[in-house]
Amino acid sequence: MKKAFALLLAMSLMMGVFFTGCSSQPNTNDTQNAQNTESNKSEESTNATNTNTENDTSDYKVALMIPGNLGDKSFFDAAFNSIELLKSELGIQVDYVESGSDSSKYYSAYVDLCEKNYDLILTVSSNGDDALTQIAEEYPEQKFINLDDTMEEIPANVYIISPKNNEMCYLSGAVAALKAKELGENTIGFVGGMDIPGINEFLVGYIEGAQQINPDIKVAASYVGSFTDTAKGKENGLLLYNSGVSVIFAAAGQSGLGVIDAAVAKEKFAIGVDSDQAEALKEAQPDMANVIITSAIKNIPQTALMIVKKAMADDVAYGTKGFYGLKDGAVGIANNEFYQKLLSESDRNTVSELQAKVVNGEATITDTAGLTTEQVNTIRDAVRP
Amino acid sequence: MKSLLDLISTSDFIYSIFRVTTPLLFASMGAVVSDVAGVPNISLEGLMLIAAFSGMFFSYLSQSALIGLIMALVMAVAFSGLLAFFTLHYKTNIILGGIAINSLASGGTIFFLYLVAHDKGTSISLASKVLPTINIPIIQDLPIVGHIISGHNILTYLSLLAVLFTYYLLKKTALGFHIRAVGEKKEAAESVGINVTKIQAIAILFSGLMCGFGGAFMSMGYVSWFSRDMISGRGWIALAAESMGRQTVLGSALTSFLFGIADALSNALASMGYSSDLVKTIPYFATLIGITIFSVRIYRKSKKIA
Repeated sequence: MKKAFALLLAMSLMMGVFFTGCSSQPNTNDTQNAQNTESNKSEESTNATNTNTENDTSDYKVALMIPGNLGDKSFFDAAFNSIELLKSELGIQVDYVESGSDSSKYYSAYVDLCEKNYDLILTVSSNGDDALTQIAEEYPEQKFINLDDTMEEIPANVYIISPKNNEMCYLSGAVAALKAKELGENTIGFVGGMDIPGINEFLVGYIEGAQQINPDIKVAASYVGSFTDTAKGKENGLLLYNSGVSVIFAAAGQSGLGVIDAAVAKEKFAIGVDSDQAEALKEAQPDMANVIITSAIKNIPQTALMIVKKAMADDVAYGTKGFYGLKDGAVGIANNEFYQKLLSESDRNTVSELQAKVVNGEATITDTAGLTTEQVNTIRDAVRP
Repeated sequence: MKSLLDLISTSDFIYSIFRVTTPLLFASMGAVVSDVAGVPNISLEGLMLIAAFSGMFFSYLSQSALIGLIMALVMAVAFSGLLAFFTLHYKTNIILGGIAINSLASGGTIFFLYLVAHDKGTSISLASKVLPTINIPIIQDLPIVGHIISGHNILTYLSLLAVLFTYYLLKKTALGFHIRAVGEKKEAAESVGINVTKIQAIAILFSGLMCGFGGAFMSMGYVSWFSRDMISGRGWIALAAESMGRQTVLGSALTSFLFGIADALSNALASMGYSSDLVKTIPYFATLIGITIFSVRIYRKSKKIA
């Protein structure tokens, strides 16, 4: 009996190792898979023979540490896409680690990277902030850049990029309000992943944008309480659509797919987040793509390209934080066939005008960095239907 | 507060309770039977996840929702068979076996998801099928009631039938008596010639079958895709419902509905702007109250007897 038990235990352990090993293989599609293996190989050969294969810059080594799971069709996938851009535009070597949602693994992932002598280590999201702060102190010579974070106490060798999420959400809010106006309605919806500052930043921008179109607009906000429970996301979406809302902005990661599915079921509309979700879904799920008016996009690859160029020229003010918005092309909304189909031309012109105002700095948008919970509540309650 | 009443008295809200409760009902029925037989199956979560993935994948391959459902059932039963084999043949601790299946399911489904969809988040790029919804003739034309009772996914109706079936199985059939006897006192059952291993194996396989239905509902009814860890604790909630229902069929079904109502209510309250962190605790708060009431009653009863 003991033997059999040991056998089962060993088997399950083995399976566990086997599967986690596979799932942390950081690839999302085949071509990138192949290229990644290549770059790993070339890394080995560089170490062994010290020959560079590509061009002058190829000895610049960058690593991307992803503190989350790829395949969300949203935030982390957008970060992943910057790898290809960096490789093709700059001809540099980029490796990456996908460390999953277990935050206890982030520190050791950083240690591994720091020991490999990368010129620069990139990361995204605030998930790994604690590990980043710790590792930055332990490796003071190593440079780090976080492409999307709001960290307050920044170590001297870390640079933080803070995308102005409220600016893209400002435009999404305008789009939602224009659609509601077209349908003769006075309320729009918002489904967030969790009731946290990072998500409420989206909500505040969304509300303010909508108010530009209709000062009396009401915004019904709901939170799934999870970024991965798609069924619950759908439940939240259905509730809002049933209450008479026709457009919902889904800022809920994977759970947002449930909201989009609810829009299909109720023949209503949704606005996607982080990457161009209509574009990502149009091949496999045309029904879903057809209800996504636009998506609020974080242009992480462009931001990564811009900052890595600067880093290579030694032009980054480490120890500080930079805010990048519409003007810098760091954020925006998706302009695709669905946007053109679902929103009338005059409405689209209105959005473009608003966009120009934001870029010129004429639009007044509340600075969401450092907004307190009370302030968010006040803004949220003022427009509650 | 008025708008809250408006919201929860709508037919949409009551309709949503059935939808939210469906996976809980199936899984808690599986939990009841295995627990009554003395082999508590805690791998409901993992078995549902495996079924959800299989349903999605095989309905995509065959482009037939029926084949997807059948394969979801087959796979869930197969993995519960694995659990039964180790538990009954090799005498492994069933709790450890259950943990193994849960971890295996979580990592394994993501692994296979990546193999077939080249995506570790969702299977949305695969055009899989969903099981049909049923409009009940005549009833669907009734005002309000028609909207609540008609138009559900076929598995929602099946989940209600599963409760009746499980009740009948345990109360009226020879197999049911054997299951209860084995769970009550294994040695006594054995002494009257009941094949304990066989009965317990059947109980575990039955719980696998129920999880198969529950998992299939998640990926082929609730939503039309598989996403990583999409069961999101529903298997564990079903276990809690079963233990709160004190291993009885009707008690577990009722508690499942209680959890369903609490969950639907928490969704509704969140959409009305009540602090979502607070309302998400409603299902667990409901459990706590339920257990308290139950324990107090047991305590009083035992005092009376004393």
